[in-house]
Amino acid sequence: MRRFAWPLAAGLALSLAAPAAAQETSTRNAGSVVPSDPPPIETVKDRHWFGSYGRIGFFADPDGARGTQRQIVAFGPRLIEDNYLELDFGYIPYRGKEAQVRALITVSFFDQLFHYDGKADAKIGLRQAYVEAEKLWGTGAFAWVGSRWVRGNDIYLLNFWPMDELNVVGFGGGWRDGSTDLMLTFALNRLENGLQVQRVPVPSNGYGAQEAELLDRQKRLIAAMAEKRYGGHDGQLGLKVRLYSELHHLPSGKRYYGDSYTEFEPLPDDLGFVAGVQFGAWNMPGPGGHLNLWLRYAQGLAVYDELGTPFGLNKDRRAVDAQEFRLALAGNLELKDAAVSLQYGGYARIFKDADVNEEDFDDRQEYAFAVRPQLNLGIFTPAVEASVQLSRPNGLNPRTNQQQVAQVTQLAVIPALTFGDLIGSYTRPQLRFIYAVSLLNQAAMDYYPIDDPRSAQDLAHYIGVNAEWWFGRGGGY
Amino acid sequence: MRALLMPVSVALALATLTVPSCVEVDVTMDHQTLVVDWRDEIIYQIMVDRFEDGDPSNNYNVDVRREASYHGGDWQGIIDRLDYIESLGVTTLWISPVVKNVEEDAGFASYHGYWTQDFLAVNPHFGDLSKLQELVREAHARNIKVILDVVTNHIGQLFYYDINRNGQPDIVFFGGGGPGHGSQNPDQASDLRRASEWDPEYDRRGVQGFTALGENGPAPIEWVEMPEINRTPPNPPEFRDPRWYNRKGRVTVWETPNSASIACFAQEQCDWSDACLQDGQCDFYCDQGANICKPSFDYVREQEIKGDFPGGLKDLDTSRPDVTNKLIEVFQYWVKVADFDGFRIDTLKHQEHEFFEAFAPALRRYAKSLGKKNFFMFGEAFDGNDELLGSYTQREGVDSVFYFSYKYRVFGNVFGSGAPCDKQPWEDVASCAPKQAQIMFEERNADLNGGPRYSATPKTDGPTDAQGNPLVPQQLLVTFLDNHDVPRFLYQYPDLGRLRSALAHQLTMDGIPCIYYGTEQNFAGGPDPSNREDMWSTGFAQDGETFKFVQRLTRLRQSIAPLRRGDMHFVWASEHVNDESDAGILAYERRYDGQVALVVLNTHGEKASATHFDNTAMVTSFPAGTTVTDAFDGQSTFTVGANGTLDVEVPPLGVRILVAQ
Repeated sequence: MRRFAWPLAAGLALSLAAPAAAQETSTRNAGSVVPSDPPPIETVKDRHWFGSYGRIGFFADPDGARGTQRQIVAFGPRLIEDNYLELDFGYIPYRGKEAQVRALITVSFFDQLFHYDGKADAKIGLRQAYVEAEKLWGTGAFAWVGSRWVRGNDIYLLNFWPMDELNVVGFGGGWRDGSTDLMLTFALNRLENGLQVQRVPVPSNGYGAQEAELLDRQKRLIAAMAEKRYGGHDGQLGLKVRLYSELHHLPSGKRYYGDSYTEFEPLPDDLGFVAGVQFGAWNMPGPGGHLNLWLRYAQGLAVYDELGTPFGLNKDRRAVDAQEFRLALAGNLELKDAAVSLQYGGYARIFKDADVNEEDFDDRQEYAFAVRPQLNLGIFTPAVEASVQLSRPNGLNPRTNQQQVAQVTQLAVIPALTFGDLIGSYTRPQLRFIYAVSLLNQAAMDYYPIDDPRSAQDLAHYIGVNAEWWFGRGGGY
Repeated sequence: MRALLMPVSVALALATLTVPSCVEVDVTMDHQTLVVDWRDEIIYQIMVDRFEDGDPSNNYNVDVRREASYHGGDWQGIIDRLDYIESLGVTTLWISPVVKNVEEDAGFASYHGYWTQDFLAVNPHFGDLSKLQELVREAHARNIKVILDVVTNHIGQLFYYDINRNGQPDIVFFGGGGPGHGSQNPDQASDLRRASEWDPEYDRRGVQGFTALGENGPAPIEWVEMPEINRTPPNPPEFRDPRWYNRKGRVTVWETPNSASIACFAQEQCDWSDACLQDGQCDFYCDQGANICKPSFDYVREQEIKGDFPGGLKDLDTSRPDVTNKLIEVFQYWVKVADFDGFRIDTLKHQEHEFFEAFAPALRRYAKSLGKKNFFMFGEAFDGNDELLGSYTQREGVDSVFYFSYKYRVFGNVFGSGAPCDKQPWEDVASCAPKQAQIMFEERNADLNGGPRYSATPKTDGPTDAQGNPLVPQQLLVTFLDNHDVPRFLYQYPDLGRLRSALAHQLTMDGIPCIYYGTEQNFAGGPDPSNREDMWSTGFAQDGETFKFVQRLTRLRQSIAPLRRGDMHFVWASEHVNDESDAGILAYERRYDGQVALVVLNTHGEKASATHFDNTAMVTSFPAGTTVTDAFDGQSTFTVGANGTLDVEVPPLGVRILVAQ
């Protein structure tokens, strides 16, 4: 417990030192370090708005099969990801001296297209549905209630938010002005993973059975963020620093055995925290360029993220000994004179679960890096992307009984058409053709079960087309 | 910018203090000979799944309420409890099989480890290879040796016999059953036949296919693909060759008459013994006294060796050199990667002697080539037939066997059901009399094909003593009161006094004692699976009377060399079982290197007995006038009389271990 106590105290200190702030900076175009200011209400002619993020297309390998990307790290290159769509529906119900209020609903559709698989069905997630009141009493204060994501900047090329990304149902509030953001978020979740909820049929008072929840424990989350920005106006260099912290707590409970209402195993309470810091610069080296550096440490329950199910628990069935460390970098250059854009991003991640095993295949170091130079020839924006993934487990691969360093190197050519007023790395929509080849070393192939064809393929080719877009995402902020 | 310094320093401090470290895994093992003399060892049998759950992260499909499910024990749990094991005084661990298994079959899980699917992969329920290596290293660091349980006879139920050739496993029925089978329909004249394609009964010709038109030749076997329970074709892939299996179906005949009555007399064959009549072999004979037909010894042995083990465990044809060689290869792998000190070999009597005469020498040579001498192999022939047990110790076969016959005849009948008891009219010596121990000891040398029943011939590269002198199977029999296949001693004989008395004999007689985990905690489970209790339910208490009793005996065995290495000399083995003065007395000297330890046990449960009868007293090898001390109670002393006579009284179910002062 002492091992846990010090970082926990530090996390608490960070939280308390930066009380109360909520700043939703992110859109899908989250590579930008400039927080998206809400559009002036006065300019909103229609109180409704619509926004979307999407990537839709298909891939095939040389044999005509669909092909799947070779990913051996937690967050790999996004280039060959599944189809995905988000739809934002916003409305401004009130604007006045006391506040400006907006409501936002975001619906997400996960990879399932009727015209592809013939199934008139969809995997839908209601991700955001909340109301936020800001400029309360004419100040920078704001408050919100509902379901939403709360997140900062990402590494676009890896589809990865290295420090702060929460998907929560809860409430929050804080302060935001031109140079300072403060945020506090309170949330609960109850994942259908058997550790937080258990339903069983019980005899009803009359005939038959009715369902009862014998296990019902909600995870409690508190997140605190404080950000200070310097400069950055009128195309000048801007700098920022963001401190971030989370606390996760899961109360104790009892999990009943499947066919028993009387016999149970105790589930102890669990705890975790996150502490992180981000340094950012924008308009560097010129307009459109930016650089972000993150350092994040998590321990205990928080290692598994808010929607994750803890695994590798300690002998007390708790996650408190789990640890994760992340060091990440992402940036963008827009060399307008040369009509060249350059995106890059990467991270190092060290993960250790909570179990007693020092030599453990689950525990590992991961490294991923991707770079994408792009030529901006009018709307024709050909690009290439190179990426590498490295994974070094602390234990033996159970298939080979060897400690191996797995590596996947991927090269891609992406001729594309991009449409926008200022063409650059983050301009969308984009119609693109993609050819990619992944090279796997033997250790990476060994990650797959021996009966999986991928375990015998050291080269994987992908040919595909897709469209990616985002628009209207900042409309609510 | 000064405002930036604080978060920078906090972040760097966090990173410096808390970043998890990287781990280099070293999978190489330093092989060494730890065993000085196997007679010094006390084996502790552990069923891994039931001993201690040290790592909940590998608890997959665990249900502690169901006796036939995984319960969560693992190798980390054993590591965590090495202090307890060491405190008990045992010196060698026998751990249940480590290889990857079929997960479950007919609602029973493979927590025991005997349903091999992959001979070269570890069972992930117990940890990974490095954890297994850690267990062996940690044990070796305490001079605790580790013996691996291996199965060479069969694999898990990974294929079925497609008797009706429809490509799916069925319970198949043919015929309707005629008037003689309960039907009132005179036109329904065919016999009703039933067969499970998973586990059909033994057929010497091989399991036959069958359709409505009758038999149609050997049934093909079909490998199953059920990855969700790891019921998939075996690994390494060589084991997927159907010719590597006997494919004759499940053993159905188990009775093994005494060797004296196994002769097959044609005139006594039962009329319905068609197999005898057809091929001239004598599969059955009539026990006219009982008026029943019994299988002949040879027929039993044929089924045992070539039939599938119950539960549909598919029998490898270990008469094939390629099968033998591959089994040698896969089990050499485990010696290499985990530095085991020996093998306990499962289902010994279900394989040909010739297999072990190839397997055992190859393993001995291999272990020696790695630097590990004294690699010890002992087998489980689950049978009370002393001759059968001993037969597997002959020539270059296994180094030892479980002394099943002694477990039944002495630990069971004498210590479990001992005096007061009755001598039956047909018995020369009462089965419950201590004399049985001496008889069995002498029968180790009874003639078996011109040699002693248990081999007295050293094996090439076989076990040796500290001076390098060879040790022979007769000296190395593995004694036990119970194990995972039989009910606990206390289940059969619910008397703690008798348990401790039996333990006292086991830990002071010759051979290598093997204690089943939980015996020291008074476990009393019935037949499998009830005899596989969760050890953690005891809290690993060390203050129980039985624990302390075993602890005291193991310490005495370690400190008094004759108790470990001495020859056995019976000085009093009573034939009396009721109220006679010596009823229940068993006394023997262990003599080693000029030292003597005299063990006197009273197996009588109700009265103190002494080492005299009428006017005859026990004669020992101690010189007259010697004062001997009871090392067990640490205080009683006795003086040896003229000619070495010694009259010692022992309380009911008591023990004295007498050594010269």
